[in-house]
Amino acid sequence: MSIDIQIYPSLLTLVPMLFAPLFLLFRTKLVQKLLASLIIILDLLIIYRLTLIMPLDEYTGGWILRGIHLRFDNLSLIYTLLFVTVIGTSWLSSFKKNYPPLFYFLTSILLSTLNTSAITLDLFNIYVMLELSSIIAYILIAMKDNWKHLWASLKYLMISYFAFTMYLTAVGLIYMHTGTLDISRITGEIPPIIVSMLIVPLLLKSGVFPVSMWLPAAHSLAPTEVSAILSGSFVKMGSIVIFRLINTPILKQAYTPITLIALLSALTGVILAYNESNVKRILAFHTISQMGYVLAGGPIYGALHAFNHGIFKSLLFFTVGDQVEETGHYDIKALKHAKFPMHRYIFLVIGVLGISGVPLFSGFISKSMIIHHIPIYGKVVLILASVGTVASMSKLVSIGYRKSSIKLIPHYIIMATIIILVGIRYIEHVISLWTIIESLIVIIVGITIFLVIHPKHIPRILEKLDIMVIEYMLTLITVWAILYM
Amino acid sequence: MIYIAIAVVIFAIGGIGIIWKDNILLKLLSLGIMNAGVVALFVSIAGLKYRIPAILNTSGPYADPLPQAVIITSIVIGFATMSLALVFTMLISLKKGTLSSKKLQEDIDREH
Repeated sequence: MSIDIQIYPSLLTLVPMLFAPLFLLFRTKLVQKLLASLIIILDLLIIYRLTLIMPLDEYTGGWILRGIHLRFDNLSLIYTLLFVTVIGTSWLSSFKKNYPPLFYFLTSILLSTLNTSAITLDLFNIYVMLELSSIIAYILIAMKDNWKHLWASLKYLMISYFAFTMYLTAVGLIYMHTGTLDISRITGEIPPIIVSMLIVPLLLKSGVFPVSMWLPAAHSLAPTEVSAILSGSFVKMGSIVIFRLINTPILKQAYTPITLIALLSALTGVILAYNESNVKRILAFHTISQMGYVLAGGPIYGALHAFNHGIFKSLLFFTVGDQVEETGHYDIKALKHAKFPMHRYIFLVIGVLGISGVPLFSGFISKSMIIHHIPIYGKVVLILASVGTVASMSKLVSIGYRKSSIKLIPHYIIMATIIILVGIRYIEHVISLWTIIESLIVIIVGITIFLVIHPKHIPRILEKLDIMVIEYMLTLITVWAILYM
Repeated sequence: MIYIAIAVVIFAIGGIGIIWKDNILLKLLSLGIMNAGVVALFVSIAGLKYRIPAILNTSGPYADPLPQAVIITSIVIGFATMSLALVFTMLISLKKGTLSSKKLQEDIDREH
């Protein structure tokens, strides 16, 4: 007997959203585990069924051309797979710790909003998802109930509320100009000021340098699993919306400012990371840098790098976060006394090899593709950023390991397997003498920099709330000016 | 057009307040003012061509109902975000005893 159920993209939104309240109703650990695995399995099944019939369009409620326009295509496939993997492994990791049912409830709704952002083509629907996912992030960051977490979260709340209000204004103005909110049906010229008001909030959500200085404090203070979810999946939301807008009149000729900001972010992120001594903040600055790669890469290579980055950054946050929670030290010098246990260090190194772009690991594939397809000025900046990545990641590796009993930790193994499988499966697309020499030179120069140049402490002026608002406005004006010229 | 200008001015006043004021509560108040500016903008966009509200027993051409439907959602989201922000502010003042954003930032830089 075969069960023939019609599959719609909107199921990706509905399933985690409908299951979420059950986490609050049934509070025993066993039921929570069952529910979590049920959501992940159903989500993966829906994604699998949708890949067989993609690209697939849907208008909610059957209102053709008038309902919310949803589309499941290659871009959605990469992103939804990433979201399910990252949140699934974070749940796996969280069962060993004492998380309240509220955590599962919130992350389940977060999964639903992330999935929606990957399939929706409606500008206002995107606004709702941006706000809803952010509200969940504020609560997740502040869950530890300490004034530091509350302040990091409140700073993020204010700057992103400011930004999304502007996004909403831009959506209203676009509706005034074109009479539609559907990305695929927007026609005609959109004035540069509206485009910049629409794009800069999305850049803030993506965690790109001048506008996202909320990110280091928030990502480093949050608990391990929350950091992994934020860096692995949450910041990818802005990039997918930007990729959706690329072939529309909104962004047709306007990708230059985004590339410039992305390159700036890729380089500044690693410089800030290199001069930082707090391990979780190092990883957070790397997110800023890697999101620069993603946006510079464009919808094909960028999306692939978003997937790879999500996987190895979550693995890094799991290993480093577990170590920080176990020892209670954030500082790299204090951690050098404690050292990583063997079973954790191996996976840290796999994550580091991934993010540094070593051949046979996933970062190599997407980084080579991005560097190969970008104009020459971009190539130089991205190679410099790769050198910086290796240099600052060497700081983490230099913590060293101590012998310990072997433990098999499932969520580490899942992430490491994906990194290596992707790295080996797609290597034929990028492998050449030039890319291998390039990656070897990058690694050697990076390690030399780590050995020769000593990090300096950089004051955190850019992370003040009023400065963040000014940074935001300056970016907005810069994007506008570039578009106007 | 005059209504759009007024809306932009309200929006700008809110934005300046966020940069200028040190107290978190005043910053949140400025955010609220800014949101009011956006609401005003949307309502004036809806009434650009026709002013008659889209209610059954009035006769058409109506003002565009979609911006208003959109802004209702935004007001609700704004309410939720603002409540959350106020709860956070309350907890910070209970735990830390200050609402000055400058002082909080200095302390977090020293300790984290």
